[in-house]
Amino acid sequence: MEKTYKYNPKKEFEERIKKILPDEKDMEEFWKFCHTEPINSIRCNTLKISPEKLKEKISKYCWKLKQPFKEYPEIFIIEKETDLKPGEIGKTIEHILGYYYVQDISSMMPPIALSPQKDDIILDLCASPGSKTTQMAAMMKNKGTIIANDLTVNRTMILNANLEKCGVTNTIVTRKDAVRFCQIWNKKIKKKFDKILLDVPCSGEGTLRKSPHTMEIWNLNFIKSLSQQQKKICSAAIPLLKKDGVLVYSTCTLSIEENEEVVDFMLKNFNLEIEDFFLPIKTREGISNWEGKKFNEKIKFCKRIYPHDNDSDGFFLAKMRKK
Amino acid sequence: MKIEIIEKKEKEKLLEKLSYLGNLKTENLFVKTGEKIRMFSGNLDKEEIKKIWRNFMIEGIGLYIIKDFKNKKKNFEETRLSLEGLYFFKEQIKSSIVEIDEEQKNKWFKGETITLKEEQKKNIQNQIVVLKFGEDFLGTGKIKEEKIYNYLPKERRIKN
Repeated sequence: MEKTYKYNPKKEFEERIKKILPDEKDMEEFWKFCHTEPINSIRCNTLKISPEKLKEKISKYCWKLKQPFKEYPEIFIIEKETDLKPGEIGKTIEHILGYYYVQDISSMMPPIALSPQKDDIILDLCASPGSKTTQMAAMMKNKGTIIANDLTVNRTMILNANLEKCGVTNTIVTRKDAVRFCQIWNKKIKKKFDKILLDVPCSGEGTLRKSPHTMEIWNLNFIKSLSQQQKKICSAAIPLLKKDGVLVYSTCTLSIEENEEVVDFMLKNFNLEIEDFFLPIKTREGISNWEGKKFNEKIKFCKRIYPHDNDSDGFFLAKMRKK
Repeated sequence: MKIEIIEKKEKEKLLEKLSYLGNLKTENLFVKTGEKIRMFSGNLDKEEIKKIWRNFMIEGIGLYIIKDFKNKKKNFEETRLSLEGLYFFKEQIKSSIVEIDEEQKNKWFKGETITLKEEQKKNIQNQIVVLKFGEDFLGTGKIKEEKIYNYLPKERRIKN
């Protein structure tokens, strides 16, 4: 790759992307998109306003809006031709009133995969800043219950602020290390969850467009250590899931160690079955072979979202059911 | 966060204190956290909530909807809805509403005090009022000497 950008990937990182995307044109597209601004997208907060009403209210800003998915009219894309001032989308009165949430399209996919229902009890173990928590609360129409946990005061403060702005009433926010949370819940509370979202801390290779600095601080040892941490979080969370309960594992990274390897670990060590599922954006199959490791053949049911496929951030998702 | 689940009678009393806005009603659970009253609509019962609170650091439950403030020394008491409380009860709010214009709305979101216009002074019977622009409720304020003092939280204001 020609190095002409402000931030350039480390050689090792570049080599790994080459293995993930062996087609040269495909890989070139990937890097090209990594050096451009991602498309702006917003999610209508249906707890407060309908998509039609929101569209009417924000028409005064002359944003070129598109609702790309018929089944999900709450998702809006602000087309690239729109002349947006810096920070404009986050400064409107409609945003202050919580009528919409600024969220990348790929980050809207984990709640769609989990499909929370009105009477579900849901665990969102690494919840901050709350994009997916607020989306799930809207899908549940503020019914059921979400337990939204995160590690630090700063993170739960941001989470609480977003829940408040969106008018979420069905959530309890806790502050604990994810593994510790699961241990205490399992021992003291004992109530099982219908669904669990594990949107775990990751190396963020999928968000290079927003944080290009990641290209230069990228480190394989860090990825390996995150992979271990992710496996620990999953191992602690799975016992909290009901029989027949659904678990969605997601990251905003592309490394196999943090994605397929973790899912393979879960399938090998726990009573889980991986399921195929539909998402309304372009996805690619999970990778079954990596550096001599051969994963469960159903790993192909995992969904990889690449930035250049949907002009979004990169993401990874897997959906599993407890047997 | 210390939480206290509010019993039905106390909840009714609280809503009665807000009767200057209308006859407010909800089936949701009220939880007291200091001066702030939060509303929880989830499907966990009181005992389950208490159990979670005893075992975890609860940083938030439901939505902050009411501020119930008392100062015994000054013999002062004030009960008002938060911005989100207003949103939740919007269909039930019938009185103490001040309709504001575009210019006043812009000032309001900057956190400024609003001077009442002649037509806005009519029919105001309560010190605490709710501000409305078109169909949107924009928060509560306190009337003092023909001005509305701004209670909009800092994090919900427009920054220059």
